Amino acid sequence: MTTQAVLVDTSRCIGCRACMVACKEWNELPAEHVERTLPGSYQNRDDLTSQTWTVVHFAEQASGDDMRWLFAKTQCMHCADAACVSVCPTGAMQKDGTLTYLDETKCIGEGYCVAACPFGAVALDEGKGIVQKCTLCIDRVEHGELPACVKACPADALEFGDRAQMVAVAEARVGTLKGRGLARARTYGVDELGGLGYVYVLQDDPSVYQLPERPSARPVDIPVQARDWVAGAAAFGLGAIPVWWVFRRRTRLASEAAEREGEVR
Amino acid sequence: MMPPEAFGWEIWLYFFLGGVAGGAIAAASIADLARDGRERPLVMRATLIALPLLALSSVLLLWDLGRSERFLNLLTAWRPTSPMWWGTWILIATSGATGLLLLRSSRPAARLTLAARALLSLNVLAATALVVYTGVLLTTSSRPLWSATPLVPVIFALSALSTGIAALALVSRAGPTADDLERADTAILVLEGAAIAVLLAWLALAAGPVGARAAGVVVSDLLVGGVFWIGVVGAGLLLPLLAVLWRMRSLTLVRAALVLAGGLALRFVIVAGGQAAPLV
Repeated sequence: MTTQAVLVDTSRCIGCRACMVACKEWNELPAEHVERTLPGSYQNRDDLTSQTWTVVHFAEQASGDDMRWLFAKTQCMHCADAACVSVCPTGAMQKDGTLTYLDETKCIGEGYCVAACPFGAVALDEGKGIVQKCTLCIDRVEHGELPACVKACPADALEFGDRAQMVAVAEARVGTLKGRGLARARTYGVDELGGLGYVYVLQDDPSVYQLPERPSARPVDIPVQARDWVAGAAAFGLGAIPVWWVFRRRTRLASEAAEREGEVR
Repeated sequence: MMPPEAFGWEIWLYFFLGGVAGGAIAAASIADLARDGRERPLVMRATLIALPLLALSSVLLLWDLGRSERFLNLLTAWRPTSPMWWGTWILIATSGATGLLLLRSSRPAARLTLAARALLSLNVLAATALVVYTGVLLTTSSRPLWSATPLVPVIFALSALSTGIAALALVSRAGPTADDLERADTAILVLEGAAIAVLLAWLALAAGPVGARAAGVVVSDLLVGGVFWIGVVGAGLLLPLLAVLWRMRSLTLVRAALVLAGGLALRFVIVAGGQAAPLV
C-alpha cells in the first residue's frame, strides 16, 4: 500500500520540462504532433493526452515592464476520493493507498473516467482501446526508486516521500513564501477531493496554474447523485401528468356520454 | 484547460434513441392506464418503435467501447457507485419489460386486468430509469455544463417524453388519440423549454466563470450554438409550439418530425457542447 505523495513546489520550478521528458522516456511514450493553440505562451503541449501524462502549465503574467512567469506541473493527481474510480463501471480503475491505478485487463475504454476526472488527466488511447494516465511510476517506486519526474527535476521543485511529511513541508514552504511578501501563496491538494497524491505549493490562485479552484466532486458524492436521480424522475413524472390528464379526460367524457345516453333511454 | 474528449457521436445518438424508446413506452403505457385498456394499439405501436431502438442502442454502445470484446466486464463487476454500471442493467431490464408487452393483444380492451396494470406500471418505471440514468451519467462528471447543476437529467427526462410522444404521433392515424398526444406534447415542450432556460441562466449567473463559459459555448459557439438555436430552439420548440398555436392541423406529421429533430439536436448540444468548454 502506497502512502507516499509527490510535493510540487511551483516556487522552485524553472519550467525546463525535464519531468515531461523523463516521463516520456520511462513510460516509453511516443512524441506527438504538436499544434500551437496557446499564442503568447511558451507552454508546450496544451493539455494532457493518452501519450503525454504530465504537462508543465506556463502562466506568463506581464504588468508594465515586469514579467512574472509561473509554472506548475500537472498530471493525474491521485485523488483520495477519485472520480475515475467511483464511476468506473468495470472496476478497472482502483485505489491502493495514495496511488490511483488502472487494471488494464479490465478496462473496456468507454471513457466515463475521462468525463469524470476534474483535472483532464485521463485520456482514451485510440490504439490500445483503453485509457491511459500517470502511474505515479509505481513500477519504479515499488523497487525503491523515485518517480521518473521527481528523479529528473534539476531544481528540487519535486520531492517524493511520506504524504504527511510532504504536506508539512508544503505548509512550511507557504509560510516562507508569505513571509517574502507573496500574499496569495497557498497549498493545493492537501484537502481537495479527500487529499491529492500530488501536494502543491502555489504562489497564486489555482486557476492561474490551470488548476480548478473547486474540482467537481459530483462523481464521488453519492447523496448529490441520489438527488440528481430524484430530480430526473420528478421531471419525468411532471411530464407524465399532461399525458395522464388528456387521456383520463377522454375516458371521463366517454363514460359521462354513456350515462347521458342511458338517461335518455 | 481543455480536457480530452470522453463521449463521441455514438453516445449522443444513443441518448436520443434511448430517450425516444423510453418516452414512447412510458407515454403509451400511461395513456393505456388512463384509458383502462382502450389504448392497447398505441402500446403495441410504442413497443414496435422501442424494441428496435433499444437493440440499436445496445449495438451503438458496444461499438463505442474501445475494447468491445470485453463488454462482459460490465456484467461480471459489482459497481454500485457507477451510474453506467446501473445503466447497463437498466438497459437490459427495460428491453425485457418492453419485450413482455409483445405478449399482449393489440386490440383495445374494455378494462385492464391486474396483470396488465402491473406490466404497464413496470414499463413506466423501467422507462423512467432508462431516461434518467443517461442524465445522471453526465452530471457525475467534471464538465461544467453537465455537473454544475442537477438539470441535465431533468431536461433529458422531458425531452425523452416529448420525442417519444412525437414518435408515437408519427405512426398514429388522425383521430382522438393523435389529438391527445399532441396536446400532451405541447405541455411537455413548454416545460422542456423552461428547463433549458433555467439551465442556461443558472450556469451564466450562479456557477462561476467556468459555468458562464459553458453556457457561452451553448449559445454562441459556431457549431454547438448554431445547432442549439436552429435545431433545439427553432425546430424543436418554437415551430412545434407555433404550429399548435396557429392550429395548423395539416402539419401534425411535420410537427412531430420537428420535435424529434429538436431532441436529436439537444443531445448533440449537451454532449458536444459540454466537452467544448474548458474545465478551468
